[in-house]
Amino acid sequence: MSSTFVPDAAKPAIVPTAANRFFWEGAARNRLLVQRCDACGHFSHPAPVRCPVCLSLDLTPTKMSGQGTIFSFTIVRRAFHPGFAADLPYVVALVALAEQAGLHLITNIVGGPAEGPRIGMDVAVEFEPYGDFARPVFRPVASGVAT
Amino acid sequence: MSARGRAVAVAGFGYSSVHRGPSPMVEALTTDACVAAIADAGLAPADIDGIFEYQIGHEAPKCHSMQRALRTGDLAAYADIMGTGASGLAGALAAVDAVASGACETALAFRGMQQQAGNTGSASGDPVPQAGGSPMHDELVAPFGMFGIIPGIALRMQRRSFVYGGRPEDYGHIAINARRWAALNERAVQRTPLTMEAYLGSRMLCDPLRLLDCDYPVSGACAVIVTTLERARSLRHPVVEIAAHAQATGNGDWVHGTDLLYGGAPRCAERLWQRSGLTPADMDLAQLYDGFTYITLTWLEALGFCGFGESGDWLDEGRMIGPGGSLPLNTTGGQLAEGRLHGLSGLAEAVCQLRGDAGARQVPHARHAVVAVSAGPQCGGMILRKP
Repeated sequence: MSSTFVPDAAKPAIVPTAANRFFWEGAARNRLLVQRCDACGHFSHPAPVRCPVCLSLDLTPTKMSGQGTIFSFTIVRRAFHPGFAADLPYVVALVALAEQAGLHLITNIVGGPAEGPRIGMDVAVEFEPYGDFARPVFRPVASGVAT
Repeated sequence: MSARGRAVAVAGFGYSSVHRGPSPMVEALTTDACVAAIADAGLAPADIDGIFEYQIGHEAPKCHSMQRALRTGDLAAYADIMGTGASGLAGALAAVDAVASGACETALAFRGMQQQAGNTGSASGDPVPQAGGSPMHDELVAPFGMFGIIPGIALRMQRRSFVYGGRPEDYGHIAINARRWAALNERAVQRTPLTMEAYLGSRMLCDPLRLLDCDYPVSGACAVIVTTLERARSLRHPVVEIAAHAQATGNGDWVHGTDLLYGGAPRCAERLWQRSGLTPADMDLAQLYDGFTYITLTWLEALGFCGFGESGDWLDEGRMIGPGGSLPLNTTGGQLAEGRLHGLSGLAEAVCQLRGDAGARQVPHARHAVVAVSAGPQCGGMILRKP
């Protein structure tokens, strides 16, 4: 391995682009926000410039319930960035949000049963401080595995 | 004339030397591959009137640098293809369109690879830098510890196992097969045999993705010469015609998509079979992208060699795809073992096999081959035929 192991290295800072600033600022206020089209009601993540369904420019960051299910996940065992070396192993997941079929977001799964996460597991959002902002992560909830 | 225009052939191919690890010499290596391909075709640089290449983003030589290096003639058709494309095959696909349409007569397509930070398709030890505007949406995934393509492929593998079941050994057979063929290929960087035990014991990077599911990063280059079938008949090698070429994307989403399994690959396959009039049963060998073992399994299924989710059983413990098997697969060792030349090497090898020039790894009586490159969100392929 040619990478330099730096145990106390910082995680990469969140430097929001104009398109995604609402997402990170919302998370810092414990809100999971997703762009919703004012014209047709379609939710989009990542945030688009226009609604990809009706091409409207009128989009509004909208608070989500924070409920979802695990669509897929991986347990990361290798540090792809030195800032995450101390966190290994950790779970990266694609979570399907409850509001709309196919509305997916990359996140982390925290806590949950000892045997680990499973696809179809119900999860709920919580917020972890991250630099000047926060990151929305998801924790398995008691209702168990929906397959 | 077919619907796409003039009939087209691959008249030459060439490789540079292939090096483990980083090299400052990517321009020299790329030039070597281009010179070798032009010589292989029995042509001179002045005969080249089209150049196409693919790169991820400013990491490799561009068309203009090869034009200057080789002193080709004026270029009637040319393009650097960057980012969105069927990886290393993208330049060759564009070359086929240019020659078929009459935009140019003889095109050079190349892929120069330099193993470096940010070269994310492999198990590179380098951390991947953040960059805005990538198809991976770095700004929205890096704070969750997702970097490069490996965790994204692991998400796809996990989803595949949820939908279809399957065993880790299914992937292992692809990795083992690569080494079996590589043992017959002097250019390959990983030629020692691999056992299933060693595959299963290789380091877990992102469950369920192991180190030996990843291709081997190298510095090196590959190039091909595309010209009309008519002109190819006058050149020095047996003709290898491009019977069909195709691309597809599905919805194009690498990270947040609803179809993590196949993307555009089945549509790409459908176009290849429809346009060529051939079927999977006609194929004597296949060169299917193996940047990750997972991708090779999805291509076998998308192309219809077996049903969706059935490649594990179909492989028959690897016998189906090895030397002497019914569908010899990735006969150089592919990117897993020859080294990561980003898929253009699959086209070069298919041509080599159909000419009958593959030496120790030659597939007997090979007349038809399929090449498929990259994965669902941006993929492409070709069917090759020895007339």
